[in-house]
Amino acid sequence: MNVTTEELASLYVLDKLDPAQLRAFEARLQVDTDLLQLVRGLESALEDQIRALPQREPPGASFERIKSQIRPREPVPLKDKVVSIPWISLMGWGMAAILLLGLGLTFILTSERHPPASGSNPVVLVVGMDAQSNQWKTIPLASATDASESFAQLAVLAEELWKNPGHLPGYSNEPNPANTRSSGYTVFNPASKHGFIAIQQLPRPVAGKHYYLWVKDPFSNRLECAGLIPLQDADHGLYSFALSQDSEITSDRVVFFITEESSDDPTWTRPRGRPVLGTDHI
Amino acid sequence: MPPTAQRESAAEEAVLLSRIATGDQAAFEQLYRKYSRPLFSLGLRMLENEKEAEEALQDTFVKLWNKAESYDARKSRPFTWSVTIMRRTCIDRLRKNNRRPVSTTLEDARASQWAIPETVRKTTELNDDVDRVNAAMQAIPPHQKRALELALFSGLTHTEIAENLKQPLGTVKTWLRRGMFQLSSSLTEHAK
Repeated sequence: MNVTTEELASLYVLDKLDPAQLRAFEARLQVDTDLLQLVRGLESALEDQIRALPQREPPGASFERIKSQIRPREPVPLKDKVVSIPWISLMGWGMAAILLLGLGLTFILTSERHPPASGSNPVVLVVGMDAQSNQWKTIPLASATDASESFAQLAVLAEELWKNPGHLPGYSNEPNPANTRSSGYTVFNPASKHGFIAIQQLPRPVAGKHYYLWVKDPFSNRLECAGLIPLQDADHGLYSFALSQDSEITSDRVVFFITEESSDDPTWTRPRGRPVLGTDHI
Repeated sequence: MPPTAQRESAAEEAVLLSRIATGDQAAFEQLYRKYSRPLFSLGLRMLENEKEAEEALQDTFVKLWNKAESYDARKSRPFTWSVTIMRRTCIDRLRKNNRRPVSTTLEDARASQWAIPETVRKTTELNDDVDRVNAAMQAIPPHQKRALELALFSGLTHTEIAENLKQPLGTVKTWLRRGMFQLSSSLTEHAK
């Protein structure tokens, strides 16, 4: 780990990162096991410090006062919850998760829960990407009863486009102007801020580098990192991602692009590396 | 607590949080028994007022109940997550009351009137843990220790810490990093 990463990890554990840094760091934690180990060590030290403070019991009536303030929830049997993927909080996502796994999709990156798509005319944004461009298309979305159903609709659409790429905006079977066959597409629900990104024929990043997915609102110029794409032994894949609930990207017309970033420069707030797919402008 | 024991404890506490998320009040009470003392002590350290520390503790546990479903084990350990909620609650109270942040050192805090009577430290194991952390803290250079204490207990942002210590922000970040890593390394060594 380099000094920058260590500094970010220290500030993360001390809760001193600003919101953008925090989102980016947490997204990286989802996929970077070495970083997770580092953070766990620092958390352990912090916890020891707290437990080594002069200890005093709270007043005896405290718990009763707390109990009087909480709203009881209807108990739900644990067996109905899906918690088997440790780095993703799936509670509440039961059916969607089962559906996704059934579809054989790779389920990665962040997965925070979001409200279902709202508004009278919900849409899904489909963005076709090649090495130099983004092509947009919007598809009406049936109203979902809840977040799980909305997420499942998105997953089904993502897989449908995987099987039938001819339906993608700007689809071409020919090499693109940059003379590469690398291509991809994103399906993104602007209301729930969930999406899927598919990648085809993207060479693996060189050693010490990773591919990062970025989302940008070209009208406000707001930019956020949506996570790291863990291309492993394949040059293709279909991945889920989610912007955080407090994301400032609210437009229903955004662009997506992927850059190759150095592992030594994990600031996650601005792309610094080489763009490999998509573009940050219209 | 040795690293292995802490990991096992973290796993148990994560299970408690998942049970709390389902509305299990018995699990909530168990978590209260585990966390209330260190969190209350943290509140006392930050707020220097028993009544306010108790209110902050209550607010924190209500938040833990309400937010248990959003706990993500990949982002933090259960106790660290709870400490973060307690610290933010205390910081909100400090700012709401427009109070100056706590600036006493840890040594001052230990000597202050609310510090724990020795009789409350029930077990040798706990004393050993406290001694282990104290020894690790003593090994950290004073300026790094001061920066760490302010970062942990004062409610100051790192920019405010830099102003308080009259140092550039970059220097303070470096002190925090070095202090945290040295502390972590010392505690790991002591645990072996």
